[in-house]
Amino acid sequence: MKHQFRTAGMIGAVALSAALCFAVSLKVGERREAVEGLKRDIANDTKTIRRLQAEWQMRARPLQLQRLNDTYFGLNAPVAGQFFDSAQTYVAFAANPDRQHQPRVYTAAASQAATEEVIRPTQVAQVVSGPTVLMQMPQEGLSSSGDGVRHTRYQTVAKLEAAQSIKTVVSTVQALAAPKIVRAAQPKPTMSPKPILTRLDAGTMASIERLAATENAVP
Amino acid sequence: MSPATLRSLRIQLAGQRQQALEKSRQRLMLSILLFIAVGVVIGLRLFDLAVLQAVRRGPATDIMATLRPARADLVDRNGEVLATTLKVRGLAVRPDKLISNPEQLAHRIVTILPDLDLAFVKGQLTARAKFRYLKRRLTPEQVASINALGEPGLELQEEPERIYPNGKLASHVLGYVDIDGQGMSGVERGFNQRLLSEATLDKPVQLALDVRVQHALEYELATAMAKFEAIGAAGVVMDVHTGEVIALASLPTYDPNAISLSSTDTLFNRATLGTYELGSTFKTFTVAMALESGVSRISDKYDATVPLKVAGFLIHDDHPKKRWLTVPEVFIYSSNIGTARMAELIGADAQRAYLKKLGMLDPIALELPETARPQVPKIWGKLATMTVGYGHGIAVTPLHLATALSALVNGGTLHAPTLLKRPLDKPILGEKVFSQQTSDTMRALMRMVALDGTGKNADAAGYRIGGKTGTAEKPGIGGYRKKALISTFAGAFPMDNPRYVVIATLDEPKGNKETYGYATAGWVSAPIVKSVVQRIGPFLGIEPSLDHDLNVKPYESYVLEKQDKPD
Repeated sequence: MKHQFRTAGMIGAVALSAALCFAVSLKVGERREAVEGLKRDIANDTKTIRRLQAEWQMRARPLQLQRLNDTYFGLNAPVAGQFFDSAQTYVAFAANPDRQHQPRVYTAAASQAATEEVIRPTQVAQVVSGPTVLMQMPQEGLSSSGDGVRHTRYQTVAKLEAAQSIKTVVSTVQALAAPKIVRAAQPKPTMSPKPILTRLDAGTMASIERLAATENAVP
Repeated sequence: MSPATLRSLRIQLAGQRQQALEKSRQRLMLSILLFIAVGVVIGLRLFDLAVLQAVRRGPATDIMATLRPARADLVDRNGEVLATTLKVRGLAVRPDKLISNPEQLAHRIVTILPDLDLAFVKGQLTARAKFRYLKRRLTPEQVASINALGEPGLELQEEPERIYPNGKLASHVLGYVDIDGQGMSGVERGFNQRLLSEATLDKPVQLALDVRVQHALEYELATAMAKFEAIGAAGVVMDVHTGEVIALASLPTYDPNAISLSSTDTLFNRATLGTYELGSTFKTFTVAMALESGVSRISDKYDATVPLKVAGFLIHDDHPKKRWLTVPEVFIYSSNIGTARMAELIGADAQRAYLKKLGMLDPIALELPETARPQVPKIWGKLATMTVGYGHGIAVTPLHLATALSALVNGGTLHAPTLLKRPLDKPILGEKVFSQQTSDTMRALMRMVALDGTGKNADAAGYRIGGKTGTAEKPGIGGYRKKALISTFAGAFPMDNPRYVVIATLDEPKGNKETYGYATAGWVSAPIVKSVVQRIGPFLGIEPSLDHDLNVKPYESYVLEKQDKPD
């Protein structure tokens, strides 16, 4: 009797473990299929991404962009004189918008190595072309064009000098004294009694001060 | 019934019963065996399916491997896709498996794919063949519609197709591939091995091209070509410090997506295969050679009073000044006589040596297979030296001109031109051909040409363009053809610190009312360079600035016209 029970028990245990192992391997099979499904999804998505990249490039190709621009926007490339280099040039322009532009010139016969030298304050905004100057510029700065100092970078203004000059400009604006004539040798022009600095309205002065603050903050 | 009879009867019945039992036992055995056999067969089949066939099939295909394209992509220097391979479905038919009426099916197919010819489709459907192509490259909507027809004989096959999303842009640089996916021209052919190698299929080849600059160049060349009714045009934009070709254009151009629709003359790459006598643009190098070798100084004067007679030929100026000219004047007024005299002083050997160093005597070593060998004089005597000096007698490609000009303006170092983007960290090797001083002097002279010489129409405000115009007559049979010109403007900008060289060439332009009938480079090619520079300056990080310029005043003292004006 007991013998039979033991045998039955063993057979039952074997059957139970077989069932459990089968269940586990079934689950593993499911997971593996899930992974394969994910891989297939990745593959499909990657193919779709490549297709979409090609389609995007086709729809956004330069000829199409130009057609869209010509039809809807009419935008053109920026031209010289459209933007101000720095607050210096902005202030100079605001002070005398009708001034003829004099390019600063740089010598051709220079070695490339020498072009990396520090910019002297002479390079800071050329304001003078007419007989009067409306702002007090650092005295050691002013000279006529073509003094032969070379540089080849586009950020021409040494930040420190610019900051100092801005401070001088701003302080002069705030003082609102009668305009100082720098070139005393030149004949006295007929000017209006009002200082031309008042052409700068409050908004402009505020933006000048903001620019000065930014240029001071940048190291 | 007697007991004996009964007994024998009982024995008989007993025997029959036994037989019947025996029979039924046998039948039972048989049926049991049959059921077991069915079970065994099922078990064997299971074993076969689950184990043996899996072994036969081998490990499952790596799905990640199917992600890699059949051919590597081409991208530009900013990562914009220039060429890519996509799996596109094409329509094919198995005529022997068709179930619907071919006539009706043909009509239905032509409704979905209207650019197919009805007769062609009918022919393919009724052909006595196992397989026939109908159309390649169907759109997904067309695929869905064909599927909706429900015809099992129609097959939609996935094929890898090389797609150039930018259309005709940079087609001569990229080239095209044939049906088997082998590159036939351009970068596709030059880099065929790299594009097909298994290890790098998912890494795109990055070219030095910039699609925006390429488009600006091609558009402006096309506009000028149409305006002046030229038969062709070529343009190059090159980075002077690295030798990278930012743009290379040759017109007329073709669509590499549809090669079969283009004619063979559009496949000709005028920028690398077309050799032209570039005319006065060569004077840049002659003057540079003269200054570099020391045979001339800036102040030297040359006799340009009368045309020069050499070996029976007459060398004359197009705009004769009829006086002695200094070196800057020879360059700015483009005097053939002055340049010929300078070339004579340089000498044939030195001239040949300089041209060799500049790469003008050999095909350009670019990654394209289509590069031409320059045509040089067979006998390099005194006359040849003089004519080569002002750009006739030697025929080079626009790319030769761009490379040599880059060497001249960047301080004198020649860099080999390349179509691949150069890594920013590695140093770029170059060969020193000119000295820094010669380079600076030539930059000033070129700026003077654009400021108030023949290149006035090339000067874009703020971009400090400098260069040289060159108009040459195309040689025909038995001499030069009078009205067939090659008008070139070879420029660089910004001249105070040159970064890019821009070349624009027009083949046989005709003058119109705006140019007063002139088709010379100053009228037709210089405006192209101006428009191109204005468009590409912002892309390339060059700000137009009226505050910067090159100082040409020291050289103006050598130019007579400039000295009359009060300073």
